Amino acid sequence: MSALRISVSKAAAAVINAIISMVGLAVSIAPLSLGADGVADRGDQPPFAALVVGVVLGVLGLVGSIGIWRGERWGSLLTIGVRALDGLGSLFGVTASDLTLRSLAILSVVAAVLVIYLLLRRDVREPAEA
Amino acid sequence: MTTALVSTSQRAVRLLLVVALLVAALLTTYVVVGAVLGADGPIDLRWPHLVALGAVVLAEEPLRRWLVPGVHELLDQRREPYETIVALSTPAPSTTSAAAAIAHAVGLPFVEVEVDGSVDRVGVPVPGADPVVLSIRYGEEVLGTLRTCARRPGAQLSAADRRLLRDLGGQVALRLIAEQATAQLARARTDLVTAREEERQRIRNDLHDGFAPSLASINLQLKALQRRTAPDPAIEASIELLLQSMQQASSELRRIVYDLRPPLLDDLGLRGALERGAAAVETTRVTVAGTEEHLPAAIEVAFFRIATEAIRNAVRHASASRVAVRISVEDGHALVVVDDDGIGLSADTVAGVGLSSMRQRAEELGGSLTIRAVPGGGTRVAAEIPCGGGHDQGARRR
Repeated sequence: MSALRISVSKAAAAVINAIISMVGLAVSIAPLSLGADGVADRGDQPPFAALVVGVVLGVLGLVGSIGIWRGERWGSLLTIGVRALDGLGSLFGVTASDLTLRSLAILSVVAAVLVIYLLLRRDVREPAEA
Repeated sequence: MTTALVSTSQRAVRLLLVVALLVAALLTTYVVVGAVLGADGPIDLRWPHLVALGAVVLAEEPLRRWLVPGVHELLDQRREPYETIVALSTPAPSTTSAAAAIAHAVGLPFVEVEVDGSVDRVGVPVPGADPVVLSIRYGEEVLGTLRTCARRPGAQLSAADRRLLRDLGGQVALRLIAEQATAQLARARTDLVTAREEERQRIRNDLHDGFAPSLASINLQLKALQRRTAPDPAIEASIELLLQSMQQASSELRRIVYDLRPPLLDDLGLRGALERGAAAVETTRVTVAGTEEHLPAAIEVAFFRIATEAIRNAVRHASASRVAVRISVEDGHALVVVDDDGIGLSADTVAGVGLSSMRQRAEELGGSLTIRAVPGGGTRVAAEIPCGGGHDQGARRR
């Protein structure tokens, strides 16, 4: 039953979401070992709470990708929620002076827009059968 | 909106999702456009901010128009393949009709499946929604038509929905083919049994009307010969032996004729034959009621054998004091029910040759046989056989 497989756009959304989630997870999880004070002492890191939220969103993003890949509706909804929150959170970094931080923020925003677009995109209408 | 399928709470969830995504998208538009134009700091009336706000205003309408159907599309998906395939594979009449299963699987407000003029419909078409008509095909053969429509006025079904509908239509086609094949097989089996019964009836008539009188004639001639040859003891003994053999042959012929088709059926009809048989039972009171209509020969024989076997079982094994037989024809189905007030069926009852034979007689004519305990004691044996509308046609050939 071909229609029960996921579409190309949803597969692409799942893959992009998984990549962005893993990147976000890696970026957020590494400084966590420094602890809240350690992170605060280093001026080049986001707040500790933001890192925790980043880890949570990364994990949820991966779960969402699995859901999309399995054709589950909750996977799409979870991914839309995660990417929307992540994108909105990243908007603060779009105007940051630090180039790395700004690049990551722009990447997150673009990824969020792209993933949400792919998930909500309607398939192209096929010619009607006689 | 998808009137029949979307509740108020679901509608609220959709609206909330659309608004949230719209706000997020507009905020993103504002920040990105502002960042590109070099806007920084809080919102003020400098031109980069004003341009960013203008971009937000311009983006709102197209974003909303794109988001609303997208959110509906996402939330309308109710694809539960396993449940749907189970529902479509269940022989009709199943608890879920094909139309209901498809409507549930695709999340459609209206589905109509038409096969051979028979319409299975769920829901009502959404006014103004794009209608969709698909053929239900098995290979090149068109078996029926599937009609549905989009979920909202002015909306169209997506390609994924259409693919799913086509795939489910294929499942419906497989079910229809299986049902047709089953019906053809049942018809062929019934025709075979009917032809067999008619042939047995013809053989019985030939034996009864041709062979039996010949035997009787030979018997009379032998008796005449016996009188003429007296008092020769040797010849008389030989003729006596021949007469005994003739008597045995006649008895055997009567048994064969009876086995081919009980003569009582021809003489008295099904009800009369059963009444005659019931009268011969001394230990139990047997009553026969119901229609006196003539049924097809095969059904009459089957009912006669089934009822006779059921009465015999009630008398011999269930110690019944009363047995009631009822024959009826309802909605193209002939029915015989035998109730007794005996000891009933025990839990460890194993179907013997008699019970298996009764079931086989009903099933080979496309019918069924049920045996169950009656509340308060006793057993009910019920056989149902389809006899169509013209059950009187060709019922007898006497």
